[in-house]
Amino acid sequence: MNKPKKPPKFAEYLLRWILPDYTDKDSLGDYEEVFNTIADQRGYKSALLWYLRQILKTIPDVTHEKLISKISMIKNYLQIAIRSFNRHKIYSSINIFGLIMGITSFILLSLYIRFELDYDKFHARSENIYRIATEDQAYLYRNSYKMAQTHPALTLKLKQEFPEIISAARFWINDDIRVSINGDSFYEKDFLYINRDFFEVFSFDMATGSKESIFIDPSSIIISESIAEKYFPGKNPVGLIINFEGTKDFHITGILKNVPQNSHFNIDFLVSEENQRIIFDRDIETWRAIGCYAYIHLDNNTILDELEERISELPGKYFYEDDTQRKRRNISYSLQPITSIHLRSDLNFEIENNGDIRMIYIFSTISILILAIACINYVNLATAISSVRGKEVGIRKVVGATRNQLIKQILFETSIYVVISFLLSAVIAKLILPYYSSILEKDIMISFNESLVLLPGMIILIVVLILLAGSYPAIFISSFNPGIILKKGLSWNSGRSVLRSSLVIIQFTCSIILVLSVLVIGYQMEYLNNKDTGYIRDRIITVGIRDETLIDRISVLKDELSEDHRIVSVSASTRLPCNIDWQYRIHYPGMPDDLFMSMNFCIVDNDFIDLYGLELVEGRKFSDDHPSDKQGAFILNESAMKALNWDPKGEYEFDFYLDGEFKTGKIVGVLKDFHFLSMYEQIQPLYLYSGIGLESFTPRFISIKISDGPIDEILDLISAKFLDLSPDYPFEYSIIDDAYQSAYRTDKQLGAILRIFTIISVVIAGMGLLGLAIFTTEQKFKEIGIRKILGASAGKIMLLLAGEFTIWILISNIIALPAGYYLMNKWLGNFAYKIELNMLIFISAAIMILTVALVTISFQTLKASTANPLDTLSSE
Amino acid sequence: MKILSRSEELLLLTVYRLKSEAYTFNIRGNLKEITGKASGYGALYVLLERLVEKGYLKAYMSDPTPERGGKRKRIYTITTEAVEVLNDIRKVERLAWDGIGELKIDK
Repeated sequence: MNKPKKPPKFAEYLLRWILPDYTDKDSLGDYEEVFNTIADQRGYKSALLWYLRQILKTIPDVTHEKLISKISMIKNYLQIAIRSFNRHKIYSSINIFGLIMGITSFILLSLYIRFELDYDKFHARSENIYRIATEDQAYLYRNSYKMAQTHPALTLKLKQEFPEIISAARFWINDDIRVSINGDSFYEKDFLYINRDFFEVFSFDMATGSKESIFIDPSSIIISESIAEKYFPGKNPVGLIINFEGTKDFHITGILKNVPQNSHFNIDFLVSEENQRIIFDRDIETWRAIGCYAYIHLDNNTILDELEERISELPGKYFYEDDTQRKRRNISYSLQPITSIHLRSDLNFEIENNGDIRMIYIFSTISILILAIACINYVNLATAISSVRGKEVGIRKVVGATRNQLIKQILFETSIYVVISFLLSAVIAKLILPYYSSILEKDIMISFNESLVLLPGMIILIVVLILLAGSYPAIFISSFNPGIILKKGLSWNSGRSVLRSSLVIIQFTCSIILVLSVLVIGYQMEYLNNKDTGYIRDRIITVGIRDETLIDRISVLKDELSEDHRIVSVSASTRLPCNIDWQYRIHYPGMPDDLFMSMNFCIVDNDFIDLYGLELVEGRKFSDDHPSDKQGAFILNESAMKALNWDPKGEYEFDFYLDGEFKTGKIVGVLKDFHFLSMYEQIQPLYLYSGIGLESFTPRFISIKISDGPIDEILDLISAKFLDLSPDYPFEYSIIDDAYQSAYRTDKQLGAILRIFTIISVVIAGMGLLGLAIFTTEQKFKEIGIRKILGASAGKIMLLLAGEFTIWILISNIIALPAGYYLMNKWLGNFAYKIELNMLIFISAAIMILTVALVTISFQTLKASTANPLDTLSSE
Repeated sequence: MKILSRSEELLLLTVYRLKSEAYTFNIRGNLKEITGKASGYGALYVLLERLVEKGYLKAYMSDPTPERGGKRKRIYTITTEAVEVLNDIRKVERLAWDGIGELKIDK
């Protein structure tokens, strides 16, 4: 015989597991010998087939032995579970409700978290797509040189220079364009100018038409399904014409499927990048400007650090003309995985406002805390009830149940609760989802197919819940000594209440921390909302200017508007006081000629300071009385004076670099600091420049202050004036306070969600406490009766009953308050302007929880302490 | 007298014939030679174990052998009770067939 052949290991293990126990597993040797014989005669394959057939043949027997014979036991467990449910309706309902609320919250929170984490994962090659971020000393914004955009010239070199870059997409994006369809004009966003590699890198699909069409003819355009639906409902728009900014006609050659909402950029219009050259006469191969977004698809084995370094060498190779330029620009590039952009990237010029990974951490923590609180309810109530069920356990043991069997029984009972709660929660979550999505303004809806993908996750969740909730009760209950239980019965206070009280303390510690966070976050938001921004936001309407011809006639517009008595004043400026995010280099005499400082700036007319009620600390406003102001004058804010180390009373000058030469202007005044950026940020240095109407810096906004009175009429008037002067442009306005508020919108949504889930967690914990209170009072009915007969007052008895719970909650407070203080201090650290954490917040959180707890249990204790002792004692 | 089924009888005889080599794999091979029919292993196990229960067979584990991948064999030997029963059967059989020539049915 040759060397013996063996059946595969896995099959042997499988057979060993399913073989009936009485065979002693020795028959495996027989199987192996037969296997060997067959292998010798007919080859390994048929031997393997035979072996597998043997396994299949055992299935009917195995199912009988391993499953069916157990069903009778399961039937008994089920019966007992149903009886116990009926007997302890209150506790069981509390358990089920708690679990349902906990699981529903968990599902909703994890769907949101999943949505956020899944950003940009729909691209087929998402793991190998990177965005190129640029660091260039020529661009300082928000205290950082790092930008999400890059130099157009760079992208052209990438594929030539680096074989590991498979494709390199780039695009420009316009967010405020005027399109006209059949003579009607609208403002639209997400207008992209793309290169050929765009579709290689990203996975966007067409609904109709070809992707190539826009590259064949640059005057072709692809529109999104939603745009097609909006402008051409029920029609096929292919072949129709869209006019761009009144200057260029595009004909539609295709429709793009809508971009999924979890993409960090949206697309409504797609044209070839050639149009950047054709329409704007822009150099799309330059190193001297930034403006396009670049994404590359990398080969699998690329070493990122090395590639980043090599890409950063390109400006030296192709761009720098001398060492001073190299020093001044010091350009470097880095690669960001596309899937990390949404949650972890916060550079200058991000396409959209990105999410915040910290919020994801906070939400994950809350979802787990809520589940834990619900599980603790189950553990507490199940162990409490077990004292009543001691007899059942005792009898089972006497009859011969092993400890393992009892553990299995309790786990089985727990799994009934968990599975029922889970199914109900899934249904409830599905019903709530539309409202939830609309609060968050995210499309978190989930289809049936998608939910199947989550199936393994759900099963894991169920198993974890069963173990969390069921394992302690199972071990506890199965440890009863049958002799003692059957003889004396089991008192629920038999030494186990240490664990129970510590679990309640944990629950309330979690709840108090959550309540505290909600309070602090709420106060902080309110503080930011109410903090004086330093400028007036009341009754000011702003209109964006897009019509370039209107810019030349701004004084006409201002005069015409001012004629009406309801309009108090009118001002034109490059930015609005709630968001002066433009920076421009500035130079002051005495500084080396080739050096600049970057500073936030706004070009304003003479009425701006008065209209917005900005306060001057020193000097004067821009005014017609000083003709030199027309040639250019400056007003700085206090922070700028401080940053420059200048005396507010001194006389200084600034050089404004324009069209290749310096224009010198006097600094005529110093402004009191006001919040021209987000409240989250420190006030930065700022200068106002009086040179309104400069060609490079045309005013973008008209601010109109109106007097009291119905706003609609005034709006009609303003609208008429605008349409009169620039009939081709739709009139769109905003109210400055709305614009200001919208910056804090996400925070408000998240705050609302946080509040809802905190309330849920407190409710669950409260219900658990209620269950325990009912249980204790039931156990102590007789004790209360005797005490009353001996002369105890109702008040004393209430104190006795509530005392224990009060102590638990006080202990929770002692643990939770320092922990909450630490966490909240850390959170507040992110803000430049923040509230002081004072004792009042902590005390109110503590009192809030204590009140909730005491009110919850008071019904029960009140009932018990006022009951007639005769009723409770006469039953025996 | 105790009655054995035909298959039980055949099994006992095979075990007797195989002596110390009487384990499932061989038993099955031998049975196949005699009857020309291959029985399933599963059926064989059940029958053999039933015979052990009835006290006609005894089973013991051999030492591990290399051709079974180091696994032990379960070897069966017949008991004195089985020998008695088999002898009884043989007697009954002989009596039953005595005087009967080739079987034919008269038309």
